Amino acid sequence: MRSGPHAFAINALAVLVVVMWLIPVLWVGLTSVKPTNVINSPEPTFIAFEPTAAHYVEIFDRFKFDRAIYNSLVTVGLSTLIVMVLALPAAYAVSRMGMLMGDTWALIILSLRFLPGVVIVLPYFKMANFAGIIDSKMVLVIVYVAFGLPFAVWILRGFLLDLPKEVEEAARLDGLSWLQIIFRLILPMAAPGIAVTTIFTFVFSWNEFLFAVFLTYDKAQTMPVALQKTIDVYNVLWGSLSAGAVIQLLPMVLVVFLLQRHIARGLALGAVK
Amino acid sequence: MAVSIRGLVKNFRDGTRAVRGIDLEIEQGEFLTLLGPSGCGKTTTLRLVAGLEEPTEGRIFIDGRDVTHVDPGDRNVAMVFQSYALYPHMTAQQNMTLALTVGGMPKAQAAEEARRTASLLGIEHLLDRKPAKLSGGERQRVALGRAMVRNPACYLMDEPLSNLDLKLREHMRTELKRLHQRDRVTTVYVTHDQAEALILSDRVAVLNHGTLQQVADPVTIYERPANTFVADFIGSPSINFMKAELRDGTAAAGGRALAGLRGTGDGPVTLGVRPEDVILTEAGEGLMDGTIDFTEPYGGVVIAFIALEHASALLERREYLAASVDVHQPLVQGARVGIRLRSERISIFDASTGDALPARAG
Repeated sequence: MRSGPHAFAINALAVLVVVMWLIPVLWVGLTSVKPTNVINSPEPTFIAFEPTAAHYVEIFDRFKFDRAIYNSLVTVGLSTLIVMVLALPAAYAVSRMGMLMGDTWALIILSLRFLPGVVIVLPYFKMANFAGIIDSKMVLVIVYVAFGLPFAVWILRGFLLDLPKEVEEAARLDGLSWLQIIFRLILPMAAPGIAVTTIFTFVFSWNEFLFAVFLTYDKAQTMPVALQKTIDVYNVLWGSLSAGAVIQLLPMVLVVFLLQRHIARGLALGAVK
Repeated sequence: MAVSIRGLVKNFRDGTRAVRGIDLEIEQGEFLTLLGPSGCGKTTTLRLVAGLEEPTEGRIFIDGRDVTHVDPGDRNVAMVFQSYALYPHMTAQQNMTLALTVGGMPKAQAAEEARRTASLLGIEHLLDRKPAKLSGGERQRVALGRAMVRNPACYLMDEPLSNLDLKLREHMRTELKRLHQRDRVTTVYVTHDQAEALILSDRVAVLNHGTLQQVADPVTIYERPANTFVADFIGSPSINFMKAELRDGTAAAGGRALAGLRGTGDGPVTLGVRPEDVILTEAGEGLMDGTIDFTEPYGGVVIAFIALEHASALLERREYLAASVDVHQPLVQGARVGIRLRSERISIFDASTGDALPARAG
């Protein structure tokens, strides 16, 4: 690491940014274990309180959070899996297979993501209603695949363009089919890029609220929707809300922690040739 | 014919006319080099034979079979790339066995084949390593092994030695030649390095602007170039071009007749004179006089660059006449010397088209 006043300023700035990002998360974590009277007291309390697990019990007992967790895992996991299985060959097609106007197609695909969610959530609702799949896991999976796929194709395409072309040509001469090239060569070679894309896709659906709140109301509701139920017309149950938020945050932290080596490489990929 | 190329044309989408009509017959067991400057179409031609590009026109036959529209994997050719193009996540052995196992060979047998090929190349001890753990030369051997283990009808090599440093390149060059003389597998080799081409090849095909300039054995290419492009491209140091007149079948340069050099026809011609065919004598004793302007030692020989009076009337493309002189012959910079030419070894080209004129010494 470099030293001197310049480096010090950069480090100080980095610490400031990290602190600014972490304080709200920390506060949510603290609030989730504070007794309700401490939460509602006008005096802010940092650590001088008796920690309680009551909010965690409440979020499961009263707000059916176990079912929401299950719904989120299934909906988001399944849609992410489908997105990735489809996105890799699609990205390969637009980046490598000499597809006519591959770049144009890639842009058109991405432009689907320019649409704000509110614009299309009502048509989605009408279609889902017509198909009789409102409040089902399937409707969310369909919507998340439709929304996640263009973005995933776009990011993956960038990663694939960075792979050396000769390796694939060598494989073609070695007699591998397109699918064998994609799954036996591209998949391991683009692993960092695929990891990053998977995380982005997963995070988008995991945090998605708008479509979920319109298209589900009870048995298929996901965690963001269940969390929102802690806010009713009379008051906000800050403790339960925070407890639910902490639970929703956990897999994110876990995934990023497990894949951080790949993420760092993935984010740097393309930056350095 | 092992490989037969007929009327091959390749135009790219961006309008580049990379290959403009090439006909080439490559014999069984032959080592043929496609040689030319960058952009001459040599790599594109090789990629067309490999099936990595679709030809715009023309046909390609391998072992008598029309493979023009056959997938690369079904052509029974193996390619060695300049960048090696090894599979980075696989060990050297897996790199070598992939084509075999994909083709249906049992794993154990494929591994045995890989070991056998590796021992030929002296890389058995590297079989468990991944490409990242190999040096440039080792990677090149693995890439070579990957091609050899398949036992293909034809090797296609795209500047396979260009990424190696000089010593290693010379070593691998010898090794390639040894392997080819042992196995006699038909090889199409692309390079821009004329020394590599002359050393390795049975025949050299010189390309420029997507067309064949000359296809011949290395000696003919060097001694009887088909045109001024080939004469200029082949040979280091470069050939001298001299302006001359043909009159009544006798050539004259600078107003002095060149004894022993005869050609058909009349009019201006260009003479191609290799530096080793320029002989330095005492001033006044030769065809003409000049001054040694500077010298370049090449080890065993020294190239003397000689300034001529009225040089622009005598020389084409260069300012100096280059003479290759034994390193033991004393050369004094600035000294006046006489110049004689080995007439019987001079090539005569049409001054306007640059094509070689049929008749030579005689």
